[in-house]
Amino acid sequence: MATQAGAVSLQPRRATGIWRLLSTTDHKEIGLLYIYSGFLFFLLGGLEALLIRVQLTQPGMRFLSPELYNQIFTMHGTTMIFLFAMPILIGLANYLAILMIGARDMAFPRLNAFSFWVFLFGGLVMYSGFILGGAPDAGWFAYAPLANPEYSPSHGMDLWAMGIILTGIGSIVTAVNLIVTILNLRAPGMTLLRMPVFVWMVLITAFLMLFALPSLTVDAVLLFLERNFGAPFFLPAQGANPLLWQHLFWFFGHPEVYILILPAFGIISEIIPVFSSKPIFGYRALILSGLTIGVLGFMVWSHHMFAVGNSPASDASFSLSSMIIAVPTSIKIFNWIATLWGGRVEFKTPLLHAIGFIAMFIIGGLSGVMVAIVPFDQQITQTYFVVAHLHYVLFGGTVLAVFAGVFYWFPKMTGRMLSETLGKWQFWLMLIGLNLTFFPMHLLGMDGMPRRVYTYEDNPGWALWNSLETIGSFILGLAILLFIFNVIRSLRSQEQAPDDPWDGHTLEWATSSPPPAYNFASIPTVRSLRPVWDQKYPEFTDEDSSKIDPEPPGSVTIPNTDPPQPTDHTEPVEGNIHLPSSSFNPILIAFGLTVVSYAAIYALWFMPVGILISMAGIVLWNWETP
Amino acid sequence: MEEQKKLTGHEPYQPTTLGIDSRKLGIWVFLASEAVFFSGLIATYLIVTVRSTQGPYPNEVLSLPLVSVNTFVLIASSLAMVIALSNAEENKIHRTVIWLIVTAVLGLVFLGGQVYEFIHLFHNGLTLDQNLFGASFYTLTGTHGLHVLSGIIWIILVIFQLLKFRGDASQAAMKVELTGLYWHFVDLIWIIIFTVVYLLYT
Amino acid sequence: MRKIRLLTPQGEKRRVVYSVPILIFLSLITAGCTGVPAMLDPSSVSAARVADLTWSILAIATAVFLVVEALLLYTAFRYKRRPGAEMPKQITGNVPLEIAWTSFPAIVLAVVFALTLGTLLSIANSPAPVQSSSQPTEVVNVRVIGHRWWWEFQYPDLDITTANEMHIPVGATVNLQLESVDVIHSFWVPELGTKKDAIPGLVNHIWYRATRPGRYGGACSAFCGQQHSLMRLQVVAESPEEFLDWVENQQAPAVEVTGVAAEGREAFLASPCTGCHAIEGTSAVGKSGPDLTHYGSRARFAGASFENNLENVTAWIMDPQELKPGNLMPDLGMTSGVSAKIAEYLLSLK
Repeated sequence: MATQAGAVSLQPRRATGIWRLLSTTDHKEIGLLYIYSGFLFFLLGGLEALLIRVQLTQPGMRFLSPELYNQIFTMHGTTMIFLFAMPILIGLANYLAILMIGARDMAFPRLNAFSFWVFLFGGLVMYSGFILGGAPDAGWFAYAPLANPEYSPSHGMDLWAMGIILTGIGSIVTAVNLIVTILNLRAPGMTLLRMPVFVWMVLITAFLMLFALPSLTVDAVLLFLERNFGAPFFLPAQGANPLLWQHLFWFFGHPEVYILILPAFGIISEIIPVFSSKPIFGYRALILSGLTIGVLGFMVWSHHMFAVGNSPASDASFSLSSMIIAVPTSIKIFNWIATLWGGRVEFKTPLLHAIGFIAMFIIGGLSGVMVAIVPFDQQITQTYFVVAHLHYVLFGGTVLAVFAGVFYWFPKMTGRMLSETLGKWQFWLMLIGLNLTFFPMHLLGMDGMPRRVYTYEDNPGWALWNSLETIGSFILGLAILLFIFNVIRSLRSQEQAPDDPWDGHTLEWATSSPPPAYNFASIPTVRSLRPVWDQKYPEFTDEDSSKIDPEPPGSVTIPNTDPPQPTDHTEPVEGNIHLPSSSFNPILIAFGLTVVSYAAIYALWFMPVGILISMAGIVLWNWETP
Repeated sequence: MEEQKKLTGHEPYQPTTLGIDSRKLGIWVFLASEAVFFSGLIATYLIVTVRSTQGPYPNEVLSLPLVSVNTFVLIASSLAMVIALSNAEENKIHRTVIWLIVTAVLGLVFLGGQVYEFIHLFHNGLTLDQNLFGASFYTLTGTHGLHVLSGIIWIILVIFQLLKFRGDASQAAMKVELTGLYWHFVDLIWIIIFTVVYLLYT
Repeated sequence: MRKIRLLTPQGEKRRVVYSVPILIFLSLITAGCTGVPAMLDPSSVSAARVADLTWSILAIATAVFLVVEALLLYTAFRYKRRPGAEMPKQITGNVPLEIAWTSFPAIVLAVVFALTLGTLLSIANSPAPVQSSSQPTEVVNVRVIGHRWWWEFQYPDLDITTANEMHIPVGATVNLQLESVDVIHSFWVPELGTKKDAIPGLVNHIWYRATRPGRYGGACSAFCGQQHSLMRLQVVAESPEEFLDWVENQQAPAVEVTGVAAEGREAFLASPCTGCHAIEGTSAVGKSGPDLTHYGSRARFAGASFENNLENVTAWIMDPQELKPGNLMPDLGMTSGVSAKIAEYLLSLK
């Protein structure tokens, strides 16, 4: 790091190697930790998917026992949602959103580290079931009374509940961090309406996490108390209504899907303008529709329960609110198309993935409107039709957007370019694979094939379609392998990526690839929605150029690769850049909480040990200088 | 003559876009999520208690007198916290610490009262696994109690910080204010719980 | 060697254009293998209403899909960067356009909701609500009780108890009352109507009115544990006369048997089987497993998952865990000889 006298004074790194990893509080390193861990869980979840698909290739196959199958599909869903999609989106948000607002780090760097470790340990707790006598096996949604100890006797569901609580704590803390950071640490001149769409979507997502996760946490606590202390929350014999579980679950569960898709919308909204050489079309509409989706997302949860016997009035109102949500969603799609319209479209890998996203999301969105239609849903709910819908929006949607974002930001995060050729092969394989795997599922569901089955009736055509789906899933596997190869090859190459390989618009492209620890030598003053673009092409600013502030005196030019100026008035008082110190306390507290979790399940008397470890971490945290 | 700028202790640690200290904003945001969390527990209590198939029932075992006193104790502790903050703003660290100790002690008294209440209810046959009322009652009030305990620990940590870093007056008020926000929230939740659990049924 | 034209950057357009007819062709082939999906081949009044609605929404969804996808792909290719292209106009919005594409979907959705509401209300309530019925060809009331992992059917007005295979008369209003003794199950026969969950501690209702005779397959449609996959059922819709015959048969006690079947009967009554199963007219009065009084009249067994023939039933009795691992019928260590005899007996219980 730069050590010019009086310029940058960085906190000295206390650790190296693995110790550095365990104690980092840098948002970029934590972002990468999230992304790599998330990706590893993606591979695990993908393996589980392949196992499921092999078992379902033909009716009556005995590849997996029913017992193991139930654990595999439970972990597939749990992994993909809680251990892959959320973390990887949080990882991208961690890395990029901070850069995009021109900040040096999150508002609470140690809390950021804590969020990561508690997520990782939560995931490991859930997976430890496989070696501790049974992984969770009552579905990722863990409906009562199936999840009660009488019907799920192994400790799998206890590990699930604890894993959910741990990862939930991580998500809530991340949400607080992101909200405070985005609201409070923006570069001068960056008003809310000059924040990139991705940052807006991350902000809305953070609020969704903040308000949705507590409902799931309550549910998991109730389940845990029932399973381990006999509290009869979901015991019909004691008068309980099993639907309590479902209401609490889906009050979380529906906002959760918007948590998974809004950041994806944000990624697409960054990529399309850059690869069209145009500003995003309808910026305000995009923001407003994101906010609408966020709020409405809390009013539709019962559409997951159309078959439980709620009143027609209740079903009808949830159906209506679920359809209304399609309006802001379709606005976004038209905005993206309008951004491409009249543009200069570069068919590079990030854009290919973005267009693939839109194409697949149209399908997923349409099947989504269909499942909002109560009578139709009352036929196909709990069938493969829903599996088709959710995979179109989550794979064709979220996963394609994640890959788009990874291809787009890989140079920034690693300083290397990914291969375009390999990327294109992977994209087409993925597109073919996902359509082959998931499209026939619409028809299978309508023909009567239920979900969550390890085998099925030998009805005409079912074996053929299932076989095609299995082939499709292996094509997806191949695409992923190609991606991994691409990444490893690029990371090993010596060719340095430029600061701004894509001719970008937003602040992350105003610093080196990868950025230095302090992100920006000097915090830039933002004068418009596209600070980097306007700097490069002052003659091609937004057609509504009244949106750009006049250049204030003494402002910092961007991109700025000059050494930092100690006289810059945007610096903190001492004239140095203050970076957060690393700390082992976040991982210590996370570890303590994990010990508490295991103790709660297996050995109550050991709980105080876990509590003491966490308390030690908290006290030490309090003591150290941030 | 030197003009001494009176620091209210509310200045942000570093420059912020909204002009409010990030930690203060963070506490407010966190409390929003806690509000949803407690809403879930309170809603659960309201929904399931009436479905209990066997006793003891709320009107049989819940009694107002002890709990009312306990509630008053917790409210008093919030008052003590307010006084502590006011002293911190005037840079009277010694008094701040004293009033923080009062707050914590009152909190402990509250917890003691809760434990006593639990033991009394236990002797009357109300356990976590006895019926839906027992399950939801203990979960709700127990969770609240854990939050009070966490608050007390936080206050103790702040006391140590104030004593150790006495020079940093501008930050003393902020530290007290942050813990005060949490403490008042926990008190507010108790008032709601008290109303829903004790006043509605007796 | 000539470059494969499809793999060049210019081949992008070709790839997309060629793949469309290929995919359509493939879909038609595969669709041809299954025919019309079950829910679009209704055999009841309510299923027909839902099927009609479904065709309408499929038409709307397909139209929207074609238009928007075409718009997307057209736009992407039309504005693909050509060499020497100028900087495009930096447009940020267009209010009339945005209003248009906000209003239009809203209107379409309003129409869809209206259709939804209409169908919802038309199938929500039974035209002949549950009441004690003495006209079994007009109104039939059935209690459906979900167990792990089989379906119990009771006809309270007709004093019939059976399992996994329900008979109903065509044209009658059949009121199904859904319950469960353990976890949440879901009762679903796509050709006859929508599904509804069977929830322990609660009672749900759906109704059917069959319009065509036939044997319709259904399945439990809520994940209920290890053998959720093999918790199927069959509903036989038949003419009123055939239905009355079936009723009469089911109301009678178990048939008398001779020969090998009689030996099987003795073996059965001497075994632990009677602890879970009931056969009316014998000493077997167990309630936790399916009623076997007219076992032989059913086409399938074990949650309607296997054909009811001698070979299968013998294998089942010998080792139920082999065919349906985890199910609640224990392995009683029966020899193949005894199992075959008992199977003979059960199959003769028409």
